[in-house]
Amino acid sequence: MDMHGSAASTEVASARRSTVQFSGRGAEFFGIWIVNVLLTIVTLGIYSAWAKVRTTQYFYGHTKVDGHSFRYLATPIQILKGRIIAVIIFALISVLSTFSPLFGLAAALVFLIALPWLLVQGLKFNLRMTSYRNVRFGFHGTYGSAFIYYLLLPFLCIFTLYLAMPWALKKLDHFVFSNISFGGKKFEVNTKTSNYFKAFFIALSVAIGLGIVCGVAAAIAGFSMPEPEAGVSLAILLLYVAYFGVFMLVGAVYHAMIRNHLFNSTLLPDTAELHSNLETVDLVWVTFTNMLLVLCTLGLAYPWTKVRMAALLAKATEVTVYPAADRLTDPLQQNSSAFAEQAADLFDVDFSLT
Amino acid sequence: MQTIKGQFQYAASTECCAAVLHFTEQGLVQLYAEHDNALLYEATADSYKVAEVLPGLPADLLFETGAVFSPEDHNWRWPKSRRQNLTLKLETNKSLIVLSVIAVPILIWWLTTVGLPKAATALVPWIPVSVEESIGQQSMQVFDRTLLSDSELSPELQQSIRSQWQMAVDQLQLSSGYQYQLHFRASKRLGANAFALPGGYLTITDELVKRLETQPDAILAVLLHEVGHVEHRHGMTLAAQATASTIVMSVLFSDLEGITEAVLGTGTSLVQSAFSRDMERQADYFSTQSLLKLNKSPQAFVEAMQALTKGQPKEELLPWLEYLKSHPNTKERIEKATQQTQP
Repeated sequence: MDMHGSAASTEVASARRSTVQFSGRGAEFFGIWIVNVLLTIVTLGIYSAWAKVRTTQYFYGHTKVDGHSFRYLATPIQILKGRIIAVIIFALISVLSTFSPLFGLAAALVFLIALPWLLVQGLKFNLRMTSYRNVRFGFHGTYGSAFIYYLLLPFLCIFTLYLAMPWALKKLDHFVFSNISFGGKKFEVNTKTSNYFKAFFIALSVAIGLGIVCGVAAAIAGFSMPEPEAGVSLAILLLYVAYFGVFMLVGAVYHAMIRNHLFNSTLLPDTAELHSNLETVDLVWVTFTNMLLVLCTLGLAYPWTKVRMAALLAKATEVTVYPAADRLTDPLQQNSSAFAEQAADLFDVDFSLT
Repeated sequence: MQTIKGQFQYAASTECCAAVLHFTEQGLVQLYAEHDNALLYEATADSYKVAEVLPGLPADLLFETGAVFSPEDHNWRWPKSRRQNLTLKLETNKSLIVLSVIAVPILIWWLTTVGLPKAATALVPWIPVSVEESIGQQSMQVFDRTLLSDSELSPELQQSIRSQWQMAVDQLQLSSGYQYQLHFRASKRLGANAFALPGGYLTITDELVKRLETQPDAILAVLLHEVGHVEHRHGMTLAAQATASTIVMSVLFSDLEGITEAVLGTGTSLVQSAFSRDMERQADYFSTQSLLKLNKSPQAFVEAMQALTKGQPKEELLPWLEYLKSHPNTKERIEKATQQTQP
């Protein structure tokens, strides 16, 4: 830590609070996206790694906190390596499991055991590749805790009929966010279980309400068909569409409440405080209209929906920055350089396909 | 000598300050703090580079030490970075964007309807028959445990169907080398049905045999249709295609979420059912041609189709449901078979 003299009270007094600025534009990102898709197809998927880097750099670069933007440092080659490995493993497993269902079962088990490692590795990679004002983020979660919070607790929740799920989700969020570090300091997360229960049950009641409405609507549409067989297939088709719609909307309701609570309870000691006042109605509206836009344009509106969402989330987020933030150094990364970024070791790759 | 305003960011530190950058034609760079004109940094052309530039964002200068200079004006471009900006040029090129909007849907359509099925069909002959047989055997065991139960047909009836079928297979002299096995099974859920698994495992349900009991040639026509699937290795082709399209879709649309993925998935399965309808047509053709070789009339196939659709709702009611189906329209299948009765 690199604090220069001044008393804590002056530090608080000169804190700056500002809204996160997002300056990306839909039309601009559309160009990036469509050209990248074309190049990806033409290069048989290889360019997808470059596309991912470009897209992430665009969104990071256009997101400004306290006047400074984020920077994405990963190189396309790192992403490409991870993707090649992932594709080979996926192809091997799916081919081999058609030969032997037993192998499929064994592969699924191995995957389950490797999952916490993959998740931790993904978080480590992505945070290490994210820098703000030339200091990188970091992730310090371990395989053991990831196993507990990603697999064990959700599994044990089955025995409580999922009633303890909000508690498990709180633990999971706490694990992820309290293990993120910036400039040698770890984030402090003081979330409350009661808020998770509240959000969970509100989302659940919305789900049940929407489910009943959709069920009745599908039944009415089904019975209005002249042939019973056609009625049933129409009802099933409608319910299939409704399932995804309801899931997305309820997800938005839950996400808005949890995001506000999580951000408002998270701070980087002596450096920064996060604030979020995302209106549930706004998030549900943007999520819903985004979904319609993508569907009606057969995917072409995708870049606009992504920009819209980023703008909404930025507008609802504020950060208080203390003067100490201007003098942070990273003890571990004195030599880190965006110029000489190299693949450090074999596992310095992003295995996720997303 | 040119000067440009911007922000200087120290290496591995959040410290930064407003700065003015002077650079010469030889690429020598000098940075001065804006408030007191103190020299902050000096670098020669080989110790910095221009970062990849993105639309609407400044063209950063990355120094070897990790320090960064960000120009204030995000439209400012460094004179010697034309090659660096190739991607940017492509992404902001209006005609390329318009071309992409037209070409991308066409390419995706071509990939799913022609490219992937072709690749799958080309790949399948490389799979040894023994591998196919073991897949068929394993799948048969799974089906036996889940969907199927023992046949309740009389052994005599089974024997007569089996011997007629065996004779037909021997007479056809199939060159592919599959060891065909015919299984009789009862299945409430499958109803009147017959299916073929890779490697030559044919199954016919009691319900179907009962419907066609008086027309042995019709049963033979159904079985020959299934033999057609095996001979053309349709099961393997479908499996290979499904794997390939999953990989392609996840690479192309890696960061699509939820509903979008569902829509794309539905699109892919629509295309796949079109592909599977083509396979059914191929198997139909195999069946009628084999009947002709056995000196039997393709009319037997027509009879089988008619018996199978008896009691089912009329297809004409919902023409758009066609696209969801794995099999072609029965009327079309009957017409095609009838055409072959009058050569």
